Amino acid sequence: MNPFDYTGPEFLLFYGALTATVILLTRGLRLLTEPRRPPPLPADDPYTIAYLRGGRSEAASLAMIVCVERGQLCAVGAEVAPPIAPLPQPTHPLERALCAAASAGGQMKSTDLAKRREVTASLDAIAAHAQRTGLVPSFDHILTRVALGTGFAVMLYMVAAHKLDLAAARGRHNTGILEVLAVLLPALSFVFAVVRRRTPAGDRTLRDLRSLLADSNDEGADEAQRALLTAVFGVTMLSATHHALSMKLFPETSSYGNSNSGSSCASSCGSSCGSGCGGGCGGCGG
Amino acid sequence: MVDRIGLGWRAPLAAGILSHLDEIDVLEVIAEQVIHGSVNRTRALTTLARDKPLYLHGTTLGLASASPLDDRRLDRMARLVEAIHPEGWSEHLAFVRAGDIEIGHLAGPPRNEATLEATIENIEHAAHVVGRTPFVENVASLLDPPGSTLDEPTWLRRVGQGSGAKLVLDLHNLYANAKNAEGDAHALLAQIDPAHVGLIHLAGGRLIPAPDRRPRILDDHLHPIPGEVFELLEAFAERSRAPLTVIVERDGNYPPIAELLEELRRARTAVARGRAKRGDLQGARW
Repeated sequence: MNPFDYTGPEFLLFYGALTATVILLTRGLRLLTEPRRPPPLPADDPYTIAYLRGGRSEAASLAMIVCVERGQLCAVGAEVAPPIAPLPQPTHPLERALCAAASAGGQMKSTDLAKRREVTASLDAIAAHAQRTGLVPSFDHILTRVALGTGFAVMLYMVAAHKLDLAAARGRHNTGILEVLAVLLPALSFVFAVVRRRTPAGDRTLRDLRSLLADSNDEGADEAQRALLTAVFGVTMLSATHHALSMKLFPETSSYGNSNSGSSCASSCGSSCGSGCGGGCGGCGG
Repeated sequence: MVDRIGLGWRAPLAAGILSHLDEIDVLEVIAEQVIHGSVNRTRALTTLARDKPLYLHGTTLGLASASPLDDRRLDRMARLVEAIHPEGWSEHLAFVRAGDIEIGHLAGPPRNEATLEATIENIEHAAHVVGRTPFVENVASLLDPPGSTLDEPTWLRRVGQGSGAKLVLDLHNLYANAKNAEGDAHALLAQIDPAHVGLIHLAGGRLIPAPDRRPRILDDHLHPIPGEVFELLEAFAERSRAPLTVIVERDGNYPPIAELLEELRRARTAVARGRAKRGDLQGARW
C-alpha cells in the first residue's frame, strides 16, 4: 500500500518508523565508514581518555587536578594559581602548558586557564592524536557524517512535504502535527548522524576501559591510577578528599556530582605554599 | 630469548595494572572471573590480550579428580579461549569436588597410579574439548596426601609425559610442600625437569598452627612472596635454557601496586641472577 495514501495518524506512525529506521541506518553506516577496531588501550595516557570521554574540558580539568595534587598549581577556591616555590616541571605537555599559563597569567578561574593559548594548543595536540588513532572522527569522517545526515534529513523532509502537499490538495488542513514533525524529525536524524564525539573504535575503547576498571576505586591508588580512574569515570568516582578538591575547582560542572563547599585544598598548597589547608590556601599565588 | 615477568589480573588491581602496563610483561586472568562476568568484560579482555600477552587460569575443573570432568565447565572454558585468544590456558592438578559437593579448595590428590591415569585422561579430554593442551599447576598441601605411593616430582613428571601438558611450576606451592613435609625445597626443585615447565607462579602465604604443634605454610596468596621463593626462582633460572614466563599472584589483602611492582622487579632480578650464573646474560629483560 502506498504510504502517501495512509490516513493522518497512520502516516504519522509510518513517518516515526521511517525516522527510526534512518537513525539506525546512519548508525550502521557509521560502523562501515569509521574505524571499528580499537587501537591499543591508551591506559598510560589519561588525558586522551578524558578527552575521549568528555572532550577538551575534561582533559584540561584532569590535568589541573593532577597538577594541583602535585603542588605544581595551587587551588584557591574555584581559581588556580602558580605555586610560590618553584617545583620540578611536569613532564606531560598539557601539564606543562597549564603551569606555564598559570605562571604567565597569575591567579585565575580554572575555566579561564583552560582557554589560554598555550593550553588550547596542547589540547589540540591531544585531539589530533585521538584522531590519528581513530578514536574520534577525522575531518573526512565528519564530512561523511554531514553528507549522510543532510541526505537523510532532506529525504525525510521531502517525504513529509509531499504528504502535506497531497493533504492540501485533498482539502485536509488538520496537518499541524505533521508540519511540526516535518521539521523536528529531519533535524533529529541529522543530529544523530553528525553529533557523536567518538568513532565506533572510540566507543569500544571507552567501554573496554570501563569494563576493566568497573571494580576499581582510588583507595590506596597512586597518582597514575587516580588519573586513569578519573579519566575513565570522571571525578565522581574519587574518594572524598580528591572529590572535594575537584568540586572546588570545577563547581559549575554538573557531572561532578553534589556540591561541596568545604574549604579543603587537599595537598595542593601544602608543599609549595607552606600554608595550612584550613585557610583555603590564601597564601598561594602571585 | 626474553624472560617475561607478569602479574595476575584481579579486578581490584585493574587500575594499578593498566596504569603501569609498561612494567608488566604478561598478564594472567582467572578464567572463572570472566566466565561469570559480563560480555563487555570478555570483549575488553580480548582487546587487552591484543596489547599484552595473556594467559587464562582455571580453578574449578579439578583435573586431578578420579571422576570425569564437568563438560559444561570445559565448554565454557573452550568458548572463553576461543573468544580471548590467550597465549595459553592452565588449570590445577587438584580435585575440587566429590560427587556434587564442592570442597572449595584446591586439594592435592593422592599421588598414585590410579590418580595418575585419571589425571592424564582428564587432561587429554580437556585438551580435546578446548582445542589446546592446558598448562597444569602443582598445588600446595598442608600434609602429604594420604594414599600416595609416588613422590611429587615423579608424579608431576609422569603427568607431563603421559599427557604432553607442560607444568605451571608454582614455586611457593613447591616451597610450602617441602617445608610442610620437613623437606628441602631446593632438593625438590632439582628433581623438576626445566624442559617440562611452561610457566612459573610466585605467591606468598603464612604459617598456621597444626595439631602436631609443627606450623605449616598455608598458600593463601594474601602475603608477600618470601625471599626463599625468589631464591628458588634464581636456582631454576640457572638451570633452565628456555625463556621463562613468571607470574606473580595475589588474591586478596591487596597492597599498593608499587609493592607488587617491586615483587616483579625482585623476580626480574632473581631470573637475571640465575641467568648470569649460567653465563647467559642476554636472557634478562630490563
